[in-house]
Amino acid sequence: MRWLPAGRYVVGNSLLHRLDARAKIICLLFLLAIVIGTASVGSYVLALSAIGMIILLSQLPLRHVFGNVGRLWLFLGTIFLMNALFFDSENALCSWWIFHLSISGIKQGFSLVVNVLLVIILSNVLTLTTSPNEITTALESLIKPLRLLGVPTEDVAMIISVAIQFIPTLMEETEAIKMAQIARGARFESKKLRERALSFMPLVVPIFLSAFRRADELSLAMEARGYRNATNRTKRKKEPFVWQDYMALSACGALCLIQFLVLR
Amino acid sequence: MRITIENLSYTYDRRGRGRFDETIEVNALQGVSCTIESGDFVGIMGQTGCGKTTLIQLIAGLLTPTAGRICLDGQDINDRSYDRNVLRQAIGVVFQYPEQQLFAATVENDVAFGLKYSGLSANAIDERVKWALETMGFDFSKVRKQSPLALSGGEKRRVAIAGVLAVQPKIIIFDEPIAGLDPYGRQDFLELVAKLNDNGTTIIMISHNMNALAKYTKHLLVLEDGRLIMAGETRAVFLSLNNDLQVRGIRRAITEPQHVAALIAKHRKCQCQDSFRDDVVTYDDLISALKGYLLGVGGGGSA
Amino acid sequence: MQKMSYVKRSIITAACVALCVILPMAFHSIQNAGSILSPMHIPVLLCGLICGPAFGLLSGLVGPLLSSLFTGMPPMAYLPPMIIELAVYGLVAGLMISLIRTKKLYVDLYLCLVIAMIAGRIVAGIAMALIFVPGSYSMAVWTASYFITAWPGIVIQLALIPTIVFALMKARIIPERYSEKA
Repeated sequence: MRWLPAGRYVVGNSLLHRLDARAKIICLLFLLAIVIGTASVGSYVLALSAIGMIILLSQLPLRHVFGNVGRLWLFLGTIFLMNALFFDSENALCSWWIFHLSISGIKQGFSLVVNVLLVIILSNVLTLTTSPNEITTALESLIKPLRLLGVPTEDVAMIISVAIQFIPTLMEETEAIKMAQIARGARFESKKLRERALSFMPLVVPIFLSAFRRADELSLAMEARGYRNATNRTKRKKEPFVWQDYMALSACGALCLIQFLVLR
Repeated sequence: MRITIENLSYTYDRRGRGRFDETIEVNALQGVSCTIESGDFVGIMGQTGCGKTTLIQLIAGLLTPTAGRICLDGQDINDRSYDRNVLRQAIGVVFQYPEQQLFAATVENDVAFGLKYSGLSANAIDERVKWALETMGFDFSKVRKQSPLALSGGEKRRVAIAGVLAVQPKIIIFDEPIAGLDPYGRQDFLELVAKLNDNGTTIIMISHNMNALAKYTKHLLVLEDGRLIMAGETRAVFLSLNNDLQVRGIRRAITEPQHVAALIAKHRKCQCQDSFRDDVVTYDDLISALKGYLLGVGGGGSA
Repeated sequence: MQKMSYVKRSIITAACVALCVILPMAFHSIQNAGSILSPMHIPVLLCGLICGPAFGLLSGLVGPLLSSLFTGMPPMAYLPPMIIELAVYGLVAGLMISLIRTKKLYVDLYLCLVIAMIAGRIVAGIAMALIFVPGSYSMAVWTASYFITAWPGIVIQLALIPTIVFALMKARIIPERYSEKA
């Protein structure tokens, strides 16, 4: 029954699926900069057409790309209202108590909502076209330069990969503990805060005990086999970038330059 | 309390494993029907992954069946109007490695956890806890204030089982209770379960230990790939399973005594034509058969 | 609590990171538990308390990230403020536990937790106001979202975390903080 959750990853074979995850993450950063740098109408046209193009290239069904946007209406609505009502108290259209509705506020609120939406869509495209494992491996190699600052990046990579290995095992144990406590009559619906806190005890305490016990056993086994730290481990063979990766990187870089140098 | 299982099926989905929204359905259990009478001692056997654990989780109401019904004294436990509390008090479950579920600061509190909603008075709860711990072989006054987490592995398991006993459920389900116990611990534990059964508790026990199933259970359910392939009186099931193996030409037996009996029978066939008793299942059977054999009585008849 | 080897602290950190992925899923099916308990906070705070500030910081950075990748919750776009909040929790909890020694385990733990929780919320609030949602954030919203809605979570965490630490010590998985009676 052991399996790793696949997150929101959708199996596919589009250009975006095939790009190297490292390239995709760097491209995402460029595109985020483009979105954050939107100021004029021209810059919005650029950002929107770039993102439209990416969605087309990803060949993902649209309901996946926009899948979780609907649930965010409250958050987006709050952002919009906060800005519309508080942004500009000098040139208000109408005022009531502490609220000042203004044109500039509405504009500001609208552009923020659009920006947040675009950021969500971009990150959706990344997680929909890249498996969680690819992303973590890519992150492990992207943080390598931090070694210059004294960060033990190999150890960090080791911790991440052990954590991923732990997920299926611990998930199974957690389910088993949950069932056992429910069978013993555990309840979680108490109204009183104190009782509610106590009602989580039978669940949370054993889950942590079993997770920490596993960690303890694994670390003992590692030390018994002479493990010190990850620095001298054999490295996974790195896949070099191919021309599509370089193309994607330069396209996103170029768009970023246009955004900040020309359209601003 | 009588458990009636009608045409029970359980399917679980594995979301997002395939392309897009495809879900892969795994049939854990298909069309299982049987009845477990009050006071019975039922064993469930089958290979790993055959659906044994799913079956007991369904019986305990921890999973909701995809199809079919489970009734306790005629009432569907998955009916909206059914009071889950009644179910929790009626059925106790000892899962694999029950020691993992300990959490409280003292042994006493951990054992009393299941009694929290029972409506018993504090004194009555104390009595129950004392009884449960003593039944599991503890010195109550010595162990009550200790932390259950600081006990040894075997003691932890006994405390966890005491927690289930304390509720005094009419039905107790054990999932692989003797896995990881030493031979003496196993023996003691099985004797204890048999005693609970003698006192009227219905026992349902999953085990891979054929000798234990043969010796202690009254009825057996045999699962294979989520289907109930055989059910009936323990001795009959073992004899017929063994028969199946012989028919398929597999030179093995289900229980160890059966294996020994088969060897003796084979040996005797070479020497003279009459065969050794062919209904040996448990060690007790084997011993009586050997007695008969050595004293020259021979022949059939059950112990 | 810092007597554990580097390898052991690394692996415990890995387990805490894995729990950041698992706990939200486990509590998802229990009514309201996910939103009230903020289950991801517990492993990060514990990691800081048990493994020290560096590992606490790491678990706060990586835990929410892996959870987002493997389970899709929280959505990627929400990660930055959450990562900042959790990273500060882990870091500050770890720093405080090495500074505060009152000879009473529970007092130490409560102090560290309260300081870490306040620090994390302040830093995340500032970061939200300055970087992520410029111009849209006011003090009122920050206080509302971080203290009022999170209040039950704070209480529950203050009750749960010291109990977990105590249980881990009893089970001899982590060393006792005060070897004489704590």
